[in-house]
Amino acid sequence: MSGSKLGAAEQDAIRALFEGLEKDVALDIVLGPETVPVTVLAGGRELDFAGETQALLETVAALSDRLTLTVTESGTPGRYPTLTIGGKLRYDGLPWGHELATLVYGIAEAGLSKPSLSDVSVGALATLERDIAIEVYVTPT
Amino acid sequence: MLLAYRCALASERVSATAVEATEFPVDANRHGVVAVPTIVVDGESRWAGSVPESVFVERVLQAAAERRTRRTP
Repeated sequence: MSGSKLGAAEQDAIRALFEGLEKDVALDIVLGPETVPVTVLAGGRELDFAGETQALLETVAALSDRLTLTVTESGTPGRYPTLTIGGKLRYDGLPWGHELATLVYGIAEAGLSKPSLSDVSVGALATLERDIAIEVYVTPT
Repeated sequence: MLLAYRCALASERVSATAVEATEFPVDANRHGVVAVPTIVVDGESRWAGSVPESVFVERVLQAAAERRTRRTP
């Protein structure tokens, strides 16, 4: 898979979804050395997670004037590539396969002017007295 | 995953990160990830599988309360 190979139909669907963006959304990718490098083969070749992520995000960012993309390099070992959506939502790794939906719907959510959670849920979360970090482990298939 | 993102957008207290388990197997193994989605709250694996919004928020709040209780002497 490659960002530049996002099909025309997929791009049209994503472009239509992004027409609902109500505010600008910054997409920030940080690339760097992975703490524990892994090799994943796709289509008989080794995946270049950093290159694929950057190519995918360049393609996605071009689908709406509301989106801006920055790419920075870090020299500190960590979990890369890491993407921040709208300065708030994070995605560690290459959002490929089914997780492309997480990326594009995450952008769509970040571009809304008010939360899409129910008022009841927003009220419940307002009772939190300390910070909470949620991680959701996903796979592309 | 979207529910976690929505919670983060709805509350300054909540941060949400999607982690590609295939790409970061060491972290996935540390949290005992055998199915996706697996939800980890404050570094502790909590549950696997999709749940409705109300259940998701309830479980997040429950995790927050348990951590607070554990910290209280």
